[in-house]
Amino acid sequence: MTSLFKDSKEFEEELIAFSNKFKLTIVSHSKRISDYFEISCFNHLVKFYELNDYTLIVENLQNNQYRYKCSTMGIQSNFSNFVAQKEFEGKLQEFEIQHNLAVQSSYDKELYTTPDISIIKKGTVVVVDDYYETKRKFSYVQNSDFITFCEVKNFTPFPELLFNFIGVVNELQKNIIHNKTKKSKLTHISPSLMISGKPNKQTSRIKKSLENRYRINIIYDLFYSGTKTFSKSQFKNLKTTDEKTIA
Amino acid sequence: MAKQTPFINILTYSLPYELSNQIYNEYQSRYKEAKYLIENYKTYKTLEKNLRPLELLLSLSIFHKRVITNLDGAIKFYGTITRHSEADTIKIGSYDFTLDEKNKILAVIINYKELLKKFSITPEIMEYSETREFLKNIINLKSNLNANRKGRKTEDDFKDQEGEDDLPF
Repeated sequence: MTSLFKDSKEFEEELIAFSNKFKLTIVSHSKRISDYFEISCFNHLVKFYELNDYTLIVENLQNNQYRYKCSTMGIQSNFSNFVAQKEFEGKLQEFEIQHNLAVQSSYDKELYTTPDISIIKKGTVVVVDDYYETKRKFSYVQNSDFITFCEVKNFTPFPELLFNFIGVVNELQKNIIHNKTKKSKLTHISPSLMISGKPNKQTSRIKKSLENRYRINIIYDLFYSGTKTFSKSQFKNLKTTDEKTIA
Repeated sequence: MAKQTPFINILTYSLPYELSNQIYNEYQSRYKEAKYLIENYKTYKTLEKNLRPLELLLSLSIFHKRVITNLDGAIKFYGTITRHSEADTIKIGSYDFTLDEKNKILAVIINYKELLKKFSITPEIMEYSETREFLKNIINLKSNLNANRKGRKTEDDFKDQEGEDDLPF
């Protein structure tokens, strides 16, 4: 066994050799690191549904390609998504796992915001051409067809980021803020904020307080703990919509 | 003697400015903090003569967190897509993430893991929030490597020896 404390020169040389050998690949992919982080989180969510015994299928491939919508621009039908299916009371229940889909506010039918990942009832994306001042099309889901969402942030957690998330929860799912949600029949993840960075004492305290108040998940440290959090042994620790209201 | 280039610059060479800047800033801030802790607290004194390995491991841990884990995530998503559909490519904006590209990243990940294994570095060593946690991980690694070399198992001799709650971090 090679001890890097005994001979750090060898360790250093190996690191340099690794860096030189794969520099081209790493550099070319590093331009898309933020997209990859968001994609990883999307993958965790797909896994969550898989672990909850949903059958997953991919929908809307474009020329045999999975087209990932990595910005708010564009019509949803031009992009791919997952469908999660489950039999319940003799009927097939189907939900779409969408990325960057605009969602109607729970207060005002003319307001929209776009979470990074949304779960909606299947086949409920609406396309209109009167949203913009031009005839450009706009796709969204009505609040009544919207189930839950996740926000993905490639940051170190800080208080304002966490409280901003509560603002989005309030706009899209006001019942969660007022603790008036009804227990759902099928399991869905509660609105979740997925953050790459590790918390400090203050942001850990905020997470604890907000999770005690509302049925939400604040998941830190996705860089390291993502796989563990969404693993078979741990995914049940996440809050879901089929639990009773906290208050 | 000319001042040695920080090792982090080798790892971040040619990376996009925004990413390399984030990595570099995190490295600088943590390295400064680590040196302060080592110089001023008995707990970490054992690392006084290991500043170069410490620099290498700190650089690697930040690179691991900000680059390697995301590349690994892209591979996993590719696996999910191909398991659930006939798709062979993920289109991200104008970029095509093909099987060939996935395999190139996979080669990076495999070689990276082999490198860690060769030097007995487990990914857990890179899991830390505070810099002092990182230092504790390194002390434990050093202790384990010494124990293995001597062919005997030592107790984890690391314990907080002074009021760390009073640290200014």
